[in-house]
Amino acid sequence: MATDNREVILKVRDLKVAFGSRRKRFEAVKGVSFDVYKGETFGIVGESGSGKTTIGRSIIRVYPASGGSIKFNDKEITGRISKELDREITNKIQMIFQDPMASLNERAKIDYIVSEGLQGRGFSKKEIAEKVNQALNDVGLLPEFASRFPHEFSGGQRQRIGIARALVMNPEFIIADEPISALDVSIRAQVLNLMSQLQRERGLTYLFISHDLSVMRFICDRIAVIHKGLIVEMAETETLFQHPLHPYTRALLSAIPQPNPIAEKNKVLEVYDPSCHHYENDPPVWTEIEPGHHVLANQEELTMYREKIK
Amino acid sequence: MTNPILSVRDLHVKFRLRGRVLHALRGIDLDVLEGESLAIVGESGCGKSVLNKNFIGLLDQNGFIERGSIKYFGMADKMRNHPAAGEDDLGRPYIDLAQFDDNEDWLRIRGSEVCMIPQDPMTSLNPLKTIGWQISEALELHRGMTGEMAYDEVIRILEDVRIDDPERRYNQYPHELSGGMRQRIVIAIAIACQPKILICDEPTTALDVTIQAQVLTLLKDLKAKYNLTIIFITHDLGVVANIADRVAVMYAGDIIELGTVEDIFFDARHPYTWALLSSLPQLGHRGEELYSIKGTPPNLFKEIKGDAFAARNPHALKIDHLQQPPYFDVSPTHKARTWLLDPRAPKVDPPEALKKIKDIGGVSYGD
Repeated sequence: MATDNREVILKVRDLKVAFGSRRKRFEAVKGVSFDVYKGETFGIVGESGSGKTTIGRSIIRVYPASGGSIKFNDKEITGRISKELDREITNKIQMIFQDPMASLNERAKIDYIVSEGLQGRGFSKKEIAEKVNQALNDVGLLPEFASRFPHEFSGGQRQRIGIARALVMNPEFIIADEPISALDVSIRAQVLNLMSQLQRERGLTYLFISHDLSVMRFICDRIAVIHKGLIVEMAETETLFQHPLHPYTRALLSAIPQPNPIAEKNKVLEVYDPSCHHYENDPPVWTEIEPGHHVLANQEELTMYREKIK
Repeated sequence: MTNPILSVRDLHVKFRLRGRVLHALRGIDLDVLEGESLAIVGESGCGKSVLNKNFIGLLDQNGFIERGSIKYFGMADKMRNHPAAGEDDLGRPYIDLAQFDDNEDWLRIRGSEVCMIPQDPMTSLNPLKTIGWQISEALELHRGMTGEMAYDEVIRILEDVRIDDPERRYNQYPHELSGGMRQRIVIAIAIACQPKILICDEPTTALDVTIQAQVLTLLKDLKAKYNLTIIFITHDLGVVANIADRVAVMYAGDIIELGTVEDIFFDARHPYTWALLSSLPQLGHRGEELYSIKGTPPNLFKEIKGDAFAARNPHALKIDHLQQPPYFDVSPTHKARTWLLDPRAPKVDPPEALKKIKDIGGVSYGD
């Protein structure tokens, strides 16, 4: 696929996020760069503590970036920005959370939960009610649910409410942080289908953060693999699954449980050992090894990887 | 064929909730064979955890066994004079766990006979006590070990669950360990009791994929070493394929299909099992709709007439709404509760997508 002429909606360059003060400083994200194209689903996969959620949160300005830049529609959104821009990106970038049991205010009714983002933006009560109804309708919930409380809904319905809350702002870009990990198998499929349907209808762009590679293979166009705050490999989904190059990617792929008892019983686990790299004299560089396929490797490894791709 | 170690017959469990009665288990028949690993799969609320809580006497206060029996064959000689003891048709002595009402009785079962590994290792360890203390507590209570003997045994068990540097870990607290390590400690506590049956309630859902794979391998090794029978509760079919010998599929408080892991994955017969397998993202194509089960599970406060899955089943027959199907045998190891297996039923083919299961997984890299 020619990726060059596609419109870039989000441009992240050398993003760093650090926590703590000078003495106990911890850098959760150590300089990551990627582009997200309009209308695609971009996945970030990694283990807990790898910094994938931190990236999502710094895009939505919850965590300030300590270095690098994030450009949304060619406008810098890190650091100090004008009030208008802040308001604009709050509208256009929305988030769907992991646990629908924890991310809805138990004391508020659904109409308030969904409309909260619209409050104080100059809409009349009538307009807000219309927008809420429309959003509920879009995610397949009935308008009469608006007067109920979250505890009256099942996990799948609650996640739909979470999606409606994001949709009501009419966003362009949605950050979905493990949106289906807390759901049952059968409901996962429903939520995934809903997300793809909304993407088709509204041309949404998703940043899909997850640790579940089998779900990512189904929904993502491109995937970045992140390990300890660094992206180690990034490629189109099928390329990544067919020719994983970085040993960490390979370890991650070999660990996915597959629903096939024969393959599962014969599978060989690859374990990632960071000491397999010899980076002392030959530091790794972020390199595009084939069109659209980036990997973090030093010269010696790149030669080896090039052999593999041939 | 191996002998059952646990035999459940016609088990009905109900819960009293705000003046209403919820029928959580509706006549479970299940044999757990000695030395096997049995996986119990199903959606949340289907009763898989409730079923297993019966085996260790941890049913919630408002729950009760209405009728049925749970015969445990593992400790016959020790409790021969107990009123719940008996002998089966083959003359093998058993004890009926369904008749226990005294906590004293359960203390002899829990830990030393049946042990449970809870889901979340973050909340199941005591944050105020060291790892070593928590494991030796189990040794003292169940095997009467104290002092140096207990210490040596703890170190040995820690090595068994592949914790490196066990002498140092002995004095560490749970917060100093990662999630995967904590789960290993929980497994170590269970192993320390030397149970015959180990119940694992979603032991890997809270863990990362790479750690999950390691914990599953560890469980398999421990099973061989300690001659364990493992009951695995999960909704992750990938994990099931990895660890199970046999699979029981539960729906609305009933086992609707039971077979070897190959039977279930390659030759499923119940429409619910089909639906569960079809909704796996591994079977979908990107850009296309993924199969999803329509509707919601039935309300167990009401009495269920006919097949519980009928309302959501695209292949439902008229009789499904009227009468509960019996078990039909597909093979000696495989049975399913669906009218589709009746000789009079129309022939319905399993969904096309399921044929793909054979091709997924394995090493799919180009090299």
